Parts: sequence; structure tokens; C-alpha cells
Amino acid sequence: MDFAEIRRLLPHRYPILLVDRVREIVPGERIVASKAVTGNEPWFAGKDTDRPVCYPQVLLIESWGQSAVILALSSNADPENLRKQNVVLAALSGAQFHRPVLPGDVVENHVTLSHWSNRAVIFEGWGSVAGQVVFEIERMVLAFRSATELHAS
Amino acid sequence: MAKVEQADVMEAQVVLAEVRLKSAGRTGAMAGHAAATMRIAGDEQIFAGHYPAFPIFPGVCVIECVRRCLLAALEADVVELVAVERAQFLSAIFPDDEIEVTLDWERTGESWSCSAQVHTSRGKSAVVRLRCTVEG
Repeated sequence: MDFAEIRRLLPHRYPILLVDRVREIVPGERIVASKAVTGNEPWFAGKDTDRPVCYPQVLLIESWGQSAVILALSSNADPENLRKQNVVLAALSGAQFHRPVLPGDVVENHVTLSHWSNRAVIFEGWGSVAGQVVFEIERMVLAFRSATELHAS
Repeated sequence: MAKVEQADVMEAQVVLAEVRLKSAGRTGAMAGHAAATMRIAGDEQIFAGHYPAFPIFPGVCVIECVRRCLLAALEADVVELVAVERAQFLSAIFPDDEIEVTLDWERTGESWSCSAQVHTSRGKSAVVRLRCTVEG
């Protein structure tokens, strides 16, 4: 799946559309999707120090989560109906960061769908750079909710 | 778009809102408590893409706000995440919301644990527990 297809599927847009390519997908089971990190990300505006420019860790979680959304939408019998809802992060646990991600790295998000209940989907997996695990996520819960529900919550 | 004011930014800026510390102090030799507010302005860069038809503050940005509040409370140069041990998102944050972050931190060896609650005027929005390294 290329970037144009990802853009058709995901509601996210610049500056927070953080998946570039889907490398493998088995609907209902798993996905491997990549994000190429550059030194020209909007988050680095005004940063002018000699310290290494590390990619923000929360955006690694976001990119991984967006890969999970692609998997969820590709696994559902009625993706158009699901796309009318807003997908939000409901819970996260056991996210561990092992090493920094730097400009020039291509992060591969490995996501497994572990459970689907009503309109919440649970995922687990890891992210790697050049075959080395850079972070792990024990459990992420994504929920599909209408605007009305989100305003009322 | 809100401006990055510092000429020499040490950190990547995912959330541009400023941290306003209301209180910060120690509760023990290796522990402390702080309270802070952040106004999530409608022109935060993230809202343009999340989502264009329905701006809503991403959960990962709430985690980022907690990290930034810890950075401010400790007057540190760098706070890096080692782990998000647990985060639960209970109600949404919208453009122009002011969030209130209360956090308790404790130093355990090389890393620091931080438990935080995030509220908006509508009630509790998130509960977050982080483990971090701190420099400076």
C-alpha cells in the first residue's frame, strides 16, 4: 500500500500523518508499516543545539497507532461505516523505548491485532530500525467514536 | 500558528503550548508534587491534521504535555521517556481548552517515575504514568 492509498484510508493529515508505506498486511491479524524520519520534521523548527535531534517518542507511538488504524480499517467488514467515526487513543500500557530514533532512520511498525470488541480494538507489537527493536508496545486500545459521543464524554 | 519563542530550543516541539507552573515542591528527599496549566490554543499545529474535519487533541500529545510539565517542574534541560507504563484517556480535549496537570514524581535509581492526572473544565481527561530519564 503506497502513500496515496494510506492517505485515502487514514483521516490524519499533515503534520501528523505518520505512515509512509504499508509493507505487509494480513487483515484481521497483523501489519508492517513504515515511517521515514527526516531532519526536516516540523517538530524540529527552531531547534538549534549540538544535541542529537531525536524523533519525539510520543510520535513513535502515534505512527505505530496509525499503522494499527490501517490494520483495523482493513480488517472490518464495513470500513466505510467505521471511517465515519473518529478513531481515538483510549488506553496504552507497557510502552518501552529502547533507543533513540534519528533523522535518516526508517521505522518499521510491527502491529498485531489481539482483540476486537464492539468498537474498541486492542493491539500489541513493536517498532524497529534496521532490524533492531527500538520500542515495544504491550497494549494499545483504539476506540471508534462519533463526534457527538466525544463531545459528551 | 503559535510561535516557537525560544531562539535556542533544546527539544523537539510537538506541542507548542507553554507550561504555566502553579506550584512545584518536594514531598520527600527523592519525590515531589507539581501542578501546572497549559492552554491548548486552536492554532496548535497538530489540529490541522488531527483531524481536519474534527479537531481533537491527540492522546499522545496529552502524554507529551505531562512530560513537558515534568520538565518544567524539575527545571530540567531534557526529560526523555523510558516507558509509558500506563495511560488512560477518559474524555476528549478540544481546541482552546485549558488543561490542568497535577503530577507526583519520584526518583528511583537512574530513572524517574511520574504519575499525572489531566483535567479540563469538563472533568478528568486522562491518567498517565511515565518513567523517564532527566538531564540538567
